[in-house]
Amino acid sequence: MTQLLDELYNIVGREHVYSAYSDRYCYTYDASFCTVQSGNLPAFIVHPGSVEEVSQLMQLANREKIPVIPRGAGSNVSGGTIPVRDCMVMVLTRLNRILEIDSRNLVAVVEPGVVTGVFQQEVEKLGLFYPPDPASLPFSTLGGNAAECAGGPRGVKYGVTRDYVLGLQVVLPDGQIVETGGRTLKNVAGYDLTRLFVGSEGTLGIITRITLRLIPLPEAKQTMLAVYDSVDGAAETVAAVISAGIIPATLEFLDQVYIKNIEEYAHVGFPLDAAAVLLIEVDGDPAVIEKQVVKIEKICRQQGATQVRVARTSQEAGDLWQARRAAFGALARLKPTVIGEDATVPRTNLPEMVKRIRRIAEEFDVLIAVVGHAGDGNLHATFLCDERDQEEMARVDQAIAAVINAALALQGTVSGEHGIGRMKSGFLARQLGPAALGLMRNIKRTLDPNNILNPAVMFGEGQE
Amino acid sequence: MNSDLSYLENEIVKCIRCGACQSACPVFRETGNESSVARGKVRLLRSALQGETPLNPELSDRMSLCLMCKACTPVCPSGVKTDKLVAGARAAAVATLGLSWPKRLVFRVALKQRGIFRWGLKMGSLVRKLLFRPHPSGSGVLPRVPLGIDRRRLLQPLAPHTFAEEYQKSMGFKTVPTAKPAAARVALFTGCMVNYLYVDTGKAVVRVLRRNGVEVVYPADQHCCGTPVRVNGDLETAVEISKHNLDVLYRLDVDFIVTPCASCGLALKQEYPELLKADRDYAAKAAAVSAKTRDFAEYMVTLPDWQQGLTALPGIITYHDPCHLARGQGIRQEPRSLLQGIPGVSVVELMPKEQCCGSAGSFSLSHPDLSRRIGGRRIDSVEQSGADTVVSGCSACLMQLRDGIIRRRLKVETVHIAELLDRSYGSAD
Ligand SMILES: Cc1cc2nc3c(=O)[nH]c(=O)nc-3n(C[C@H](O)[C@H](O)[C@H](O)COP(=O)(O)OP(=O)(O)OC[C@H]3O[C@@H](n4cnc5c(N)ncnc54)[C@H](O)[C@@H]3O)c2cc1C
Repeated sequence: MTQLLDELYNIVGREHVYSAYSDRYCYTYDASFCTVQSGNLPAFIVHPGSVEEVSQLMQLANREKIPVIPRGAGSNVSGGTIPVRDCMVMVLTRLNRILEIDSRNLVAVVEPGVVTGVFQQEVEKLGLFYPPDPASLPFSTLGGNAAECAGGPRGVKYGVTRDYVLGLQVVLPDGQIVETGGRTLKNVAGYDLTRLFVGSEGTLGIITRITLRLIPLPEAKQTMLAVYDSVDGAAETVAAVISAGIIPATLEFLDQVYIKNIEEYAHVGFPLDAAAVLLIEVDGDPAVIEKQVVKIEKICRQQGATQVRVARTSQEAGDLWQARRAAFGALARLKPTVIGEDATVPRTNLPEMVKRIRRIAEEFDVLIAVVGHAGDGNLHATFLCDERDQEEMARVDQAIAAVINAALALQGTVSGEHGIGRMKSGFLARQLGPAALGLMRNIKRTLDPNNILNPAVMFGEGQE
Repeated sequence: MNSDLSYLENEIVKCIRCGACQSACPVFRETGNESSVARGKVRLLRSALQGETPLNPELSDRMSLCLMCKACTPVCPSGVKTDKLVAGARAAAVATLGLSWPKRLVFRVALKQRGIFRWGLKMGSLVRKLLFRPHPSGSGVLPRVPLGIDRRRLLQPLAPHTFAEEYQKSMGFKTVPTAKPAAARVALFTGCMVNYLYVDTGKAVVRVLRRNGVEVVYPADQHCCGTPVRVNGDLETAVEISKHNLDVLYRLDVDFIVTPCASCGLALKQEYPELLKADRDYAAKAAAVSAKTRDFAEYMVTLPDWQQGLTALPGIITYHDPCHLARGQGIRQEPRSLLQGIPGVSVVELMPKEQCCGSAGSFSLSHPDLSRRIGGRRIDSVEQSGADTVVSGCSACLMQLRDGIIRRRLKVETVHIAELLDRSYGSAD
């Protein structure tokens, strides 16, 4: 142990290695509801400062068969950075330089520890746009986003992280440094390794550099909010807007539990008996979006919206978003434990999914609020409970399983954007089937024969 | 007061571990280590509460890594008040592990006994010569001996006479220099920084208020507000000090209690009522004093004619928001309004907004390197702003900024807002 510590000190410098109990304890959790059994602490926390250091650390870990948990901001909600006993947690936040923003080729090169929101601000200063917008963007890292293939409200129009990663530099479990993809939009040289590593949740390699695609910043945007007394009205609106040839930048859906709580907490003027609210944003050429707003407003009313508010100023738009952002605080005030599920269905199955969630809430007697990125069918069934109440938590567990099964039955996926991590490894086989799952295990075994990289996530091996 | 942590439980369970505090915490920004961010501290406390993590010196040490700057509370979706949790944890640590001897000496002996306190002041100039040497720049002093203080740390020298002494000697007997009858009567609560180090700030406050037709009384038996002992976990002394001050302030026949110190204002407005909420005799007194307390800038802008008689001051001024004023008391616009009221100055904003200067009272003494790194970022902002003068409403912030400015050899002045106004009124001596 002391000899290992000395080696770590040699690689990254003493001040970048933590081995005191309190420091190790603080890497036993992430934003998920997953917990480790006491005693299953990491052995060291290491903060490398270069790809060479990452490579040396991996060689050491591979030689000594020390499990390694890569980590960005630890904001994932799937248990993706929960340690295994005596592992090394490798924190990549010191690698936080934006290496290049090439506005002529619309490409940027970043290190994995760059905070998503910081990067967005920097490119926007140059009139450029990096659309993926997980709600955690003020603190999540681009490395974590790539490793989880994070999405966000803008997914419906702009896609998710995967759609913006052109190339990667990755350190493999044995310490080899590989480059995947490149900086061209078109690139068919060999297998698409970039896509293999995006969303691999730290199980195949450590991402040490990311080449990202950028697009021009839309000139303008407009925000509107529509209130419905039935979920179907809101869902039909989503379908009708898209059929009319308009793809809004965001189409956020809030259900009655959210609405009631937001109203009571933040007094934004929602009718307390509303069944659903849609927050719609269109962006692009000002003249075009002006017309789109008129069309959308008409569609909303045709589909039975009881109230439609169009923000005329950025201040008003801010107020509407304020309501959306108040959602979380409004719920956190009700119950101490908030678990955000992200089973996702094709968007036409959304009303049915919402109904099934309501039924599940009744059946298991649990409190579930639903918020969703309605445009892409990505729902967040939000479970409100108290983790200290074991009996309640047992019911919550059952209800979560029921929600996931409902999504699968409706041609959906167990996770739209949060990842499998530890929380959902048990459901993976059901969605993939044995052949696809077997192939994935083979890929993992080929790249990481000693199973040292994030061994307990994805396939659920060695979870304690 | 509770020596265990259980009364903190309801606050602790609110943390949903999202990690949003990582974007706000100035200490985490320097260390990158999870145990120094709010989420880490809350998790450690939760584990201590469950008996899994011992309340030992290592845990105390992690709890010492908090500036009490409240930057994490507005970004927290569930509104966890980590500064309160850390204060509670420090109190539990004091109850379990005791105070370290230097703190015990200062908090329990010197601060509590007004006799010793006064004697210490009388001896002040002698002690000062023994312990401090002048800074080569001629501004401020440096410690001669470790004192638990970094020896390169610039400190404001103890004033030759405290504000209390000066007031007794001169100001107290001056008649109100205004033709109008007194518009209001206020009590001045100076705080230690102004009383012992920045006496000129206190004098400026008195002159500016009197000039505006406000009658100022100075209750000479006021004491330290207790913030240093409270945030370091010595609740017993904090309660004692707050009761003393409430006894002094409660019986005064004044309209308002005005203070030029952000932390004292926060103590009188919020901390006393909270410390004493279960006290039968003092809860009401604390509420009454709280309702009357105003920060200097907050009070000034309510005076009808404060803009009259302000003369032009050249220069580019920037304003540093003290954490305990902006996030603590919600006072952001008032000081800016005052600055904009001075003819001739142009006011520029310090970006990013509302960053802690890293002083945090005794934090700057116990974690000098971290404190200086955090402060260095604020000095970067000052440099980028192009300002030639930094104004603030907190003497401790100003001392920290001065240290950084001298270290970088910048030509930038630091001044309390009361002194700047005084200068603009043309009444400074
Ligand atoms: C309040 C809140 C809102 C959220 N909103 C959204 C949302 O809207 N959409 C969404 O998709 N997610 C959301 N998330 C989840 C989370 O923020 C994302 O999964 C994010 O991408 C995680 O980034 P991170 O830097 O915190 O990574 P971490 O949590 O530290 O790590 C995530 C995973 O990536 C791996 N990893 C991290 N860095 C590297 C690297 N450099 N190389 C290889 N592997 C690595 C880790 O091992 C782990 O498996 C939200 C979370 C919170 C708390």
